[in-house]
Amino acid sequence: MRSTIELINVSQEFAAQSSAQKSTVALASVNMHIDKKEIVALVGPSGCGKSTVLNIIAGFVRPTSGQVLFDGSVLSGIGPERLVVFQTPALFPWQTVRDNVTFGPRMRGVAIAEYQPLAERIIADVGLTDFQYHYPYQLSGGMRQRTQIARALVNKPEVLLLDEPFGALDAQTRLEMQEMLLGIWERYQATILFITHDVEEALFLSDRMYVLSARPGRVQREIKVPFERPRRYSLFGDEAFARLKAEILAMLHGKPDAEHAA
Amino acid sequence: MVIYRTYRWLSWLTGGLLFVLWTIVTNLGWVDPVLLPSPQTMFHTTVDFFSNGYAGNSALNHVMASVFRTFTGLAGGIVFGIPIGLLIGYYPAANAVLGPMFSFIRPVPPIAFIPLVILYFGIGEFPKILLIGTAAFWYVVLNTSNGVRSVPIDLIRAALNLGVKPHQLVFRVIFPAALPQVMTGVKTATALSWAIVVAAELVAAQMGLGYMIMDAATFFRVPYVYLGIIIIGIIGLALEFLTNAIETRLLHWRGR
Repeated sequence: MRSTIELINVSQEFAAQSSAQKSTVALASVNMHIDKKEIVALVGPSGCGKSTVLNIIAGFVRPTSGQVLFDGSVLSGIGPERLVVFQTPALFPWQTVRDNVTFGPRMRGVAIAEYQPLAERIIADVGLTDFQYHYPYQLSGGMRQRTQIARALVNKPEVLLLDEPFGALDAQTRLEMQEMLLGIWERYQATILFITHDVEEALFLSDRMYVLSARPGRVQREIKVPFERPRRYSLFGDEAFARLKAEILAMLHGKPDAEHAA
Repeated sequence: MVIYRTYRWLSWLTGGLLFVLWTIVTNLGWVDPVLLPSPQTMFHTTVDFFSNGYAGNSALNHVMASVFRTFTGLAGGIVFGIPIGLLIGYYPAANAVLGPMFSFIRPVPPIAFIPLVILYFGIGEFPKILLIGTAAFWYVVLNTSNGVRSVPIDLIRAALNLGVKPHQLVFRVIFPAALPQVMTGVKTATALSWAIVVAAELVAAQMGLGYMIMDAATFFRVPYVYLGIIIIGIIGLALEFLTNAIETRLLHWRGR
């Protein structure tokens, strides 16, 4: 089966901004793939280039070398079939939740009859029906992220790219959001790549995860997450879960032998 | 939100004390009544001004002359300033071409150009409106372009990601996102325009509040000088209330 997204030997170097700086190699020969309807997590120490991977797939930055394939052909530019959910919600503050959600189809000239029912259903699915005429500044952090997710889903994207979407939320809200995301994934058959620094979150949500090394980021390990779906929070108490989590944490903290374990 | 006491009664008290002081010093003859008229004189002058006008023109004509010049000039400055501001904020090349010139002219006090515009265009309505318009223009351009440059990159990326076309990016995303700063420019320009119209009328005009205080001073009708200043102050205050009201209504989402 052909992967939805495929990165082949992708490297990224950022030029120095002044004579006092050196150029930075953010990614070195990264190979990874995201298959249809998969949830893939990207974890790694901060500054390892996780966000760069996401920006490359979104088309925001062009890799210095290597190839990115989308549905088997070379990826070109930015497009609504690969939608980003930003870490700090990038909502339009002058628009209501509803207007934010329908922004994409409205701008692209999609007929109202076509997007309106879908928008209403999605707003209900993310639990914002009672808040659809509120403005972003009137919402909690969790609600803002729900709005961003709804704004992406309305465009029927093939891939959702989430950049530490729940990182800034409190533990309780984060659990709710994770559960909501799984519900969305089942209902809309989405393909999801998400970045997180929370290993537990990665294990709870994903089918597979990539562990990136410190800068320059390269794929240190690919892990198939073995837990069956649907997953419940009781998984957090599972022995295999705890073992895998400990193993990954050891890897992230740079124990050199962890790379060859298992 | 910080909860603080406004002490509004203190403001009223200060105003009241000043009024009492003014009444005392003028009525007891402690100051020359020619230089500082009493409250009674000011009251009669005000009634006379609003019923008989000044120097052949009604009170309304004087007030409206100044207000008309301000709003026309201001409107011109805004209408030209916003597109130019968007342009040089969005295109670094446009900024390289126009930016240095604008930066050079902006700090020159607009009234320094009064002799030149009189030389070029005489003393009619046009030179005054031009003077106000250009002064407003610099501030609208400056704030609009700064506003454009400070639109968060993620907001632009989000819009591009959702499939906006270039003109939609400018008018549906960048302009509204920059609007708070545009509004700051408009507010500065409004206050400045009101100051310039009075200055321009002091130099060359047959009507308007600036003309009135200059003419009244020349003919030693000092109460009219004070009255002119008071009316200018009140209208300036009203303009500030107006722009603040527009801002709160239009930009309720600002800074949140």
